[in-house]
Amino acid sequence: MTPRFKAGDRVLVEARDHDGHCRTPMYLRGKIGRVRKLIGVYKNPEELAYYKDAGEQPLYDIVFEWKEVWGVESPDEIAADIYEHWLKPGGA
Amino acid sequence: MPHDGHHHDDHAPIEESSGITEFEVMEQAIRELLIEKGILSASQIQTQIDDMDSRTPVMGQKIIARAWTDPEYKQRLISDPNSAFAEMGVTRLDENPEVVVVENTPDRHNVIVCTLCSCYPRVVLGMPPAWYKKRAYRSRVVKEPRKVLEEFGTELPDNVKIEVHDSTADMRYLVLPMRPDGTEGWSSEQLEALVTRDSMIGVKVPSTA
Repeated sequence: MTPRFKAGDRVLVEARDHDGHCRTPMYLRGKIGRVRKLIGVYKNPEELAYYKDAGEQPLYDIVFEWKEVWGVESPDEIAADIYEHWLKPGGA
Repeated sequence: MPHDGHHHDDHAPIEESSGITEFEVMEQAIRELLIEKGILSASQIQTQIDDMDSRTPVMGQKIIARAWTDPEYKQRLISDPNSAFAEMGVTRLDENPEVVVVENTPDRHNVIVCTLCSCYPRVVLGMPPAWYKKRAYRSRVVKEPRKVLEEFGTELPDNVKIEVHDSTADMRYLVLPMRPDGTEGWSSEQLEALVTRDSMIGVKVPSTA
């Protein structure tokens, strides 16, 4: 599948619930980050964990500024790997 | 000190006596079923356990020390970690998750965590330390990394940006620490000894002090 996002894009991690195995941490849901790079395309762990015929999902290295995640000023950053089906365009 | 001054009952029992947990029962049942149905053999399981037990931070120490002395190797380590690992004799790379090498610089310090479970670059470091799997480390290092690093004895200057890598998905992260000043001319063995497991996780920095 063709990846929807590219390096530099701002993306919003969807703030939705998910039952079962899931690799999108709660503390990053609803937060906006920047795509550093497309890591590759991997089987969706949310299906793979249950031996379903897992579809593939692009996986991105996303960098989040401290203030966006925790609401306080800091030069530090958090980087996490997020699958595309959790991401929406995050504005300019 | 006279021998009768010792206390012999201060530590936790050597063998746990509280019986087996629900997860241990589950693991045993699944393992026996897999063997009974011929999906896996007991020897395959043992081979896998032995392979995991054979991986220790020594492999990571050799890799990092070489990267400190061989700039071309360092480039390969960053651009294509698997081929750089294979050069150093790391086996069964295909059966392990991919590793991304993140380099510390004078203005950027990397630290790794898995907030969701205990993802760790086991292929080159072996089993993670107990604290790496604890809720305290996993929940705190993404929120107050400077405080957590201080508790490990690591004080970073304010101008150094910390990047916390949460190993959420298919990638595992390995920190390439900075070579300490004053180690020019050191032998490989001396350099390897500086590269601790904790410095490859990013909670410490190599030090000659």
